[in-house]
Amino acid sequence: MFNQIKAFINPSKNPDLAQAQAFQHNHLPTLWLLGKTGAGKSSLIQTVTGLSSVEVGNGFEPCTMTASVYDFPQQKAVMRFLDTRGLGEVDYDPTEDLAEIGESSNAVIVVLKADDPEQSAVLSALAQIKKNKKIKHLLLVHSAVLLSKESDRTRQIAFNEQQIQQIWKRDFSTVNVDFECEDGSVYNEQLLIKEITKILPIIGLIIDHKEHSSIESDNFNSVQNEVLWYSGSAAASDLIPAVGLVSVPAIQAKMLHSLAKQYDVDWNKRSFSELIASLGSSFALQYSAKLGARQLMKLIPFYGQTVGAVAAASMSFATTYGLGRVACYYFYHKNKGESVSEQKMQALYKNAFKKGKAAADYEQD
Amino acid sequence: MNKIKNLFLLLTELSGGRWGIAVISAVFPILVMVGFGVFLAIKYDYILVLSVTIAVSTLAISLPLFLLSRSVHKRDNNKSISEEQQLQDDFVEAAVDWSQNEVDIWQKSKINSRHLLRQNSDWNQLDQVGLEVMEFVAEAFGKKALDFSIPEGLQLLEEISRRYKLVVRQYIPAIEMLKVSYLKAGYSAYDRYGEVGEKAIKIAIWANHAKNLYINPAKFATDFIKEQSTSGMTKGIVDNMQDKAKHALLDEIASVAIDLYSGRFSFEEDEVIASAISGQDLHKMATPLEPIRMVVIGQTSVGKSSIVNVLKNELVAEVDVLPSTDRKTVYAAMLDEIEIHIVDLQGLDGDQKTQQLMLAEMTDADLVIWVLKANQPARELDKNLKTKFDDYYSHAKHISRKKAAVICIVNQVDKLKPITEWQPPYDLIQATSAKAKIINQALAYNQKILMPDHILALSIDPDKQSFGIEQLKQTIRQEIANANNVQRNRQRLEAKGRGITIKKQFQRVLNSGKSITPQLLKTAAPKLSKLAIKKLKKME
Repeated sequence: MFNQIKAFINPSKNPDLAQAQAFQHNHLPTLWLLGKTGAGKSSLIQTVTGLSSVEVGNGFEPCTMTASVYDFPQQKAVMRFLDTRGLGEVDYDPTEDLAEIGESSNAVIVVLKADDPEQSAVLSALAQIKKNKKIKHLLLVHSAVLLSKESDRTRQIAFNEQQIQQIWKRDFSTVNVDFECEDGSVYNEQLLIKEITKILPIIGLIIDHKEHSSIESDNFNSVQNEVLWYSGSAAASDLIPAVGLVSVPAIQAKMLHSLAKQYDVDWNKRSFSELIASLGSSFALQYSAKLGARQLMKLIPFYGQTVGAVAAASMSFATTYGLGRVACYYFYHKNKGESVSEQKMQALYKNAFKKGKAAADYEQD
Repeated sequence: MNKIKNLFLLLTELSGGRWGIAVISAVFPILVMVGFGVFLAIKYDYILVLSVTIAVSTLAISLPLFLLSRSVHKRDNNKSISEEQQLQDDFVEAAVDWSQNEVDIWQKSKINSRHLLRQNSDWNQLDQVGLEVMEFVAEAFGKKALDFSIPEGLQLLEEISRRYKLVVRQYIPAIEMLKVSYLKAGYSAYDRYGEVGEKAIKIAIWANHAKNLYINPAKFATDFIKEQSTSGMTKGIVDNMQDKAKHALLDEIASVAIDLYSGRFSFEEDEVIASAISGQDLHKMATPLEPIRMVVIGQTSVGKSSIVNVLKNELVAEVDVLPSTDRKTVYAAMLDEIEIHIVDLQGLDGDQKTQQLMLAEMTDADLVIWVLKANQPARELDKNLKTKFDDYYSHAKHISRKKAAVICIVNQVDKLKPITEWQPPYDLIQATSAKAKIINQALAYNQKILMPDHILALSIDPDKQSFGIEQLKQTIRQEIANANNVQRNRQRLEAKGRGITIKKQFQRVLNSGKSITPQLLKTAAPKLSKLAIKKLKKME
């Protein structure tokens, strides 16, 4: 028991951990950008991620000549954008690309230039995607809406939306944007991020542009991506059979260790016990019991391999995220020599757990 | 011996019986003076001075002549190298309503006929060479030689004669004064006396000139020109002139053969009437003329109808941001004094049927306006259609079709980045501003993909200052002549389609067989008649 705790407090390199992280990297939630060449797919990625490496074309000739992958954030990525070659480009047959990308993507964003009603290439690609039945979430983005007069714009958008509706036949959200405002800003940027968050919630956790109510939550925001990354690794470890039992606590331990360092808190047996204690006496028991039950379920043949693993993965993601959230809160106050209330800690944990569960559940849809 | 006697008789005859008098009056005084001079030189010891003077003056004249003849020889060699160039300054020109393929056949035939002439350039053999030229053209069209009916054949001879007469009259000086008997005299002398006769004729002609010069200088001048342009026995400009005349004859044969094998001769000229598609348009327009048919092509909502309105100077075509032109509408417009029918079509929408429809319209067009949106780079649909359009004309079936010129319009250049900058006019040749530069880049991108005959930038947003309208009109003006030729080509080929079938043509020959005696045919066209007689005999 003592050794176990000691190992938890001072995590060493763990082969399982590396395996989980590799798995996570290969299975990042992926957003696929689809649209005619010049529609603004690359501009959208640049807007959302702020990555300077995204190459945006000049508008009169194709720019993205091969599919590009943008992991986001660049360090410790938790999601991925897939920028495909523009449709309708001379001598480009997208059939193969469509089938391949369809396998690895979770949701598709269709970008249509509002003033271009000729979308036959996009429509036939979309029909193929629908036939494959792999992707179920779609967001329709009307780009360059400010190029048209307001009266025209409404009709153009309605026309294009109807074209997509006829093919997709399911509900989808739409958002009108313009990446080329006169003042250099992006029209409806916030709305765009909100809508993307709806189809891929994790993005909402990364891109949080809200004003923070306190310095503490502001501080958490700066390390949040790391917490998300550890959560993702924990979830990934559950998807590899019989790895989770060992690796989920190991990953969490590594996260706490790293967070404590960043908050300049000594991380030892005492601080670990204090953190667990501050969450209430029931938490420690619950934590270990739940983890055990989940791992048992995972080992049941067939059931465990699929449903169990999926359920375990989203639970691991949520608990890791929740743990990371309260740990930051705890470390912040500990550093200042303040004490924390049990209720506040539990409320914070539950809230974060819910957010994490929502983000993770989506992926397994 | 007999030959020499004959030669003397011929010379006497040709010089008008004054051969002896001419020799005595011209040569004898000189001979006397020479003898007298030599005698005096010996007597007064001037023999050395005389020898030196003779030597120096001979050299002074013969050296430059020798060098001159060498350089002329060299130039001759150069001439054969620049054959292509030579083909250009020939008398006969390609017809304007020929398709590119037909012009190619024409060029090849010209090279071929020059080759044949080098092997066999005798006037007497030219009919054979002419037949070979016809066979060459027939082969290029994938048809059998002499595969035409008798009325067609006679029309063919008539046409060759008519055109050749015009060419010969225009280019060969003093041709009206040339009598066939004169040529005949030359040939018969050659036949009778061989090489000696050829030279004798030459002497006789010059002797005659000398006499005429003495009696009547004016007649000498005209005779000299006449002789220079006809005699087949002197070198220099005359040879060149003859070559050109032969080339012209063979070229006329090739030209008429092209018209024949493309089917233009299966009907009379007055059978050419308005083409079918124009008929359809006329039905819609109720206008009796056939103006330039200008077809406007492009993807959905790139601004085709707006361009129609600009060219018409009024708002007639329905303009909308959504696909609005769902079927074709024809608008009559005037550019300067030229009447134009603008055919506004539905947009390319990725449907195969639409593409087929567009292609059909384009191949029935005299001029194609291809509208592209500058800030929408997806060119797959445009490229596919352009490839189909180009392929259409390289198909063997459409070898005689003349292709309409394509004017590409890169529309809405005001929407290129930087969008806020828009202060036309822009100088695109010396582009300095960011906008002008990006417009040039956009033009280059689209030029590379679609390879049109012209590419122009345009902006006709009603809320902004327009740009490029005048240049568009100027380009259309430039293409009017070509568009007219495309139309003529279409009319002829469609008339051919409506014309009398080959079977009917044979029928006509059969019916008229009794009124044409074989003897008459024989005098009209020896080669044709043999064929015709065979045919007639078979049919009877």
